[in-house]
Amino acid sequence: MSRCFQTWASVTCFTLSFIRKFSHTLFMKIIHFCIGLSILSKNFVSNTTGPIQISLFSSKTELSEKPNSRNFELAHELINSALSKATGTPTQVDPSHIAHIGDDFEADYIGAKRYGFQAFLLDRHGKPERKQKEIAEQAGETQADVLNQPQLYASFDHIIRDLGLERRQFANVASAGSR
Amino acid sequence: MHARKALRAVTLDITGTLLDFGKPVGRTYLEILEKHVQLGANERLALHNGIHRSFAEAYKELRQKHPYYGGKTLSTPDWWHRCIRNTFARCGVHEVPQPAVEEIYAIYEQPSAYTIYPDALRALDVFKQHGLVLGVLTNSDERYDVALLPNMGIRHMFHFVIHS
Repeated sequence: MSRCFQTWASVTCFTLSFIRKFSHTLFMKIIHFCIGLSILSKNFVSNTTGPIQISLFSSKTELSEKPNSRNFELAHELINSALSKATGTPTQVDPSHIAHIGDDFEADYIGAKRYGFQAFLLDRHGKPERKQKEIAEQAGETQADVLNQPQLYASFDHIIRDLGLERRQFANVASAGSR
Repeated sequence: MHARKALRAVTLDITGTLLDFGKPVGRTYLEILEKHVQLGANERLALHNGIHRSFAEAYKELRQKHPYYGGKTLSTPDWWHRCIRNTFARCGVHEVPQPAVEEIYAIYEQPSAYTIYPDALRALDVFKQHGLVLGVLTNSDERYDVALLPNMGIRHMFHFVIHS
């Protein structure tokens, strides 16, 4: 039975890679179709060892992009269902217990804040003046609230520190070592 | 501070946050075109000088005209093929062979076209160690989900990918 499945799987993989090689467009259409089917039937792709993996073709089906609340709301729903699955009991977390990290003031920072997530704005190029100018321009377009100037983070390392995660990381490493 | 202690999940943007393009998009476009087409000196000069701006304009225009990478009217590859052809057309190059267009489209599914930020990878590990639920919120098209993140070997770290 499992050999039969292996053969079927390898034939499928080969066929898919063959199709992909010669017609990328066709490959994408098949993927779209399959994922669309799996969403329709609420049969999300999952595997037994890793986390449940869910793909969402949100814009093609819902026509929504950050900073729209719908995208953050979807994330919130999926986080609730992932936590419910992990704990075995229905779990609802407050959006303030979710952090969003991104580099776009309007799409990431304002979008996340508006929905109620914690928001962290990256400025990787370390040019605060340029970033502030960008923020002012975007805020002008959308009348976003910039009275509370967002803090700019040069890298994830600073965000991890502000989230208070670093110290617990070492504690985890130590306890893992002592096991 | 109290809310931060109770952190349960982290969502991330991708472009500019987790990774960036390895080199300017215009340069990649030009390099691939030159593999397929013998360019004249004038054409090459026009492309060299104008392609970065042309791409930015063509992209912006198409995002306004056909939002969500085509939404329900255009497929993602059709949207990008149009964007690629419009970019070259703005520099006066109207004859672009289809294989060149397809090669440009496909290269952005390969990890080699990007630089991944090491601090972001370290952070993913820290988030995982703390048992946080991880998700992606991107305004890019679905290929990050079905191609690039799997090709980079990091798709499994995320519970979900919400894309444009």
